[in-house]
Amino acid sequence: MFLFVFIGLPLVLAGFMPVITRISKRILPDILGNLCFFLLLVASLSIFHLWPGAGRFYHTLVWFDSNLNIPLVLDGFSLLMIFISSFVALSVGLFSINYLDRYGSRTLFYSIMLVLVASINGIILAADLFTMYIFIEAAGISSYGLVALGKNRYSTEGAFKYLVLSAIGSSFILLGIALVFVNTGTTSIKEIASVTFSSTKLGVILFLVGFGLKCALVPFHFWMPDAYAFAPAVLPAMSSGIFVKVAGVYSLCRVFFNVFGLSFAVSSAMIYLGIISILAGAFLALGQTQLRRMLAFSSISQIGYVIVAFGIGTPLGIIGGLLHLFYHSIFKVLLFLNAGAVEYATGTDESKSLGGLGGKMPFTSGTNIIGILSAAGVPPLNGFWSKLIIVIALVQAKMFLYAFIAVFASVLTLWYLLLIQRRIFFGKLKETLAHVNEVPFWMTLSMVGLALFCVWTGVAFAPFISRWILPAAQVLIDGVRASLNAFIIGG
Amino acid sequence: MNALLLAGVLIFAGLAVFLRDMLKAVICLLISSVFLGIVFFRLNAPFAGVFEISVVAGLIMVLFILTISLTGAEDTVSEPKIHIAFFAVLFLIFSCVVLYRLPAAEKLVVKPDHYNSFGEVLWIGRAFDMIGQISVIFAGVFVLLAVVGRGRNGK
Repeated sequence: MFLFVFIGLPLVLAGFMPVITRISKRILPDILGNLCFFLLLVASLSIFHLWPGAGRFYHTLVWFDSNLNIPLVLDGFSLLMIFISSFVALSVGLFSINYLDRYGSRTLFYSIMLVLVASINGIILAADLFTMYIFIEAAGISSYGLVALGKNRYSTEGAFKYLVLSAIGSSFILLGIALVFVNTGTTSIKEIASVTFSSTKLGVILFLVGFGLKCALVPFHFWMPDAYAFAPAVLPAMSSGIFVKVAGVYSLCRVFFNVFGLSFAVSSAMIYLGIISILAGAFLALGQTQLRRMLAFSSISQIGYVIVAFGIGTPLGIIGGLLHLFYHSIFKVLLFLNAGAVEYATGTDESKSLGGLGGKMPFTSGTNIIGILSAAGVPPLNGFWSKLIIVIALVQAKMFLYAFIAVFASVLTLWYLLLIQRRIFFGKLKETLAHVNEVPFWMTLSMVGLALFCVWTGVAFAPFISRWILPAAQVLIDGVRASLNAFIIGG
Repeated sequence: MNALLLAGVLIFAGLAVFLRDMLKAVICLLISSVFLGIVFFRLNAPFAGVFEISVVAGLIMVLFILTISLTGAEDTVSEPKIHIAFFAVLFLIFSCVVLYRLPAAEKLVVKPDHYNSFGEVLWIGRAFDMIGQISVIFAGVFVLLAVVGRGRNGK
């Protein structure tokens, strides 16, 4: 029952939110939404403390002694993702308390956010490919809703592109699932893993393209910059922070590690796509002047690192991939929220219209620098350790050219992010920005909290790896065996 | 029977592409989805059928119709005739191939599982999927409200 809280609580609250918030449309949605995200974070930490540290567990939901046939799966990987989802949702929720003053209905926003979080948790805990697909659809539609909350016509264009390309990605995934079903007669992850079944080339391509679109890997990346550039800043934060990670990277890893087992062909394809994404994302980000568009291209590049690391397939590569997956969620959410803070205070995030904001917005400027240095992999911040492990894993696998590209792209990241930091926060304050003040309390609190977390997870990375990352990595290292040897608890 | 239903799917899908009137095109797509849902049921994939009819034929169509009504019907786009003719030929060839290959495809169908009735499939066989569907419906309703809000504000 406890596991079902991650899906049931936000979903039930989303359903009742429009009714409950008739009492107070200003304060109650903020309190209820953030309380729910906080409870989910506490629940994920509680499970972590009870967690034996290894293995994969199936749990069937029981309600008043009757089995509801709702199988949920929990292992180190899903626990890590549940934690990320709850943490990011809470950070974005706190930021939104003030940020939503500019974006209409709070009730609607929190309802969509709650459905998004419930759907993302559904993807993470699903023990069946078809169930996973349905929750991916639900999360996609919720994300579309967040894009559509934007105020200008460009956000509509972005939302439309996002909806169409997301639907195309989902169709590829559904076709892949259909192929698996035709060959195995089941969609259950455990049952597919137990059947001697070698995935067909077509199936692999369908899943790669489908999840590649969700991850925005090059050449399937073109929806991301348009969707992120004009949507409210909470959308790119939620999308880059968790939706892309869960619907794209997590699902891809589940399918290719725990259902099919990582083959040489898939591994090579992941490395090639990842390397192209690292380079293309970094070069495309260089020419951007709008902060959120630049961060979107930066996300494409950083997701490339994660995919390359998983593609290597060695234990070190998987650890590096998981670490970068988690760290990227944190620093990229921070950077998108910073962009939102700049836009909130000045009305734009176009760097040509900005300059010298550092004195006026010290917290935003300071946390932005921490986010930038983390993203670029500067020690001792968190991004440094994950990129270092990925580069060492590449060297260990004798992929020296790719290791060089990874380091080179990291330098490029530092360059373009520092460039935009200088344009927006340093130099002489523009006259048109004389009235600008630091953003309100909750927005500042959220950004400072995330920045401190970037520093803390960088400084204390070793215990973090042993407690959080290794159990998650073990599930992927075990591959298909992890699904076969799963324990059944409860139900 | 399956061949007839699939022919219906293809004909109405084709009409959805060719019709200039957006509303009529969406209605044709809706009918096509309903036919496809019935085909799913007949091919022993009832949960796919339920999903197709409730979400694709139901929710997504409502979203489409609402968007069309909000954006106005005057924005018609005229396609060059050569493109339409080219698409029609391709569509015809594709339809023939699908209908020709259908008997072979039916042999691949997995044997029915132990759930017989519609209710059993929904509430016993695929209970978790139902929760996923509830999420999809909630998401759809809230997106609708967001879009309607934009429409009211004239954006």
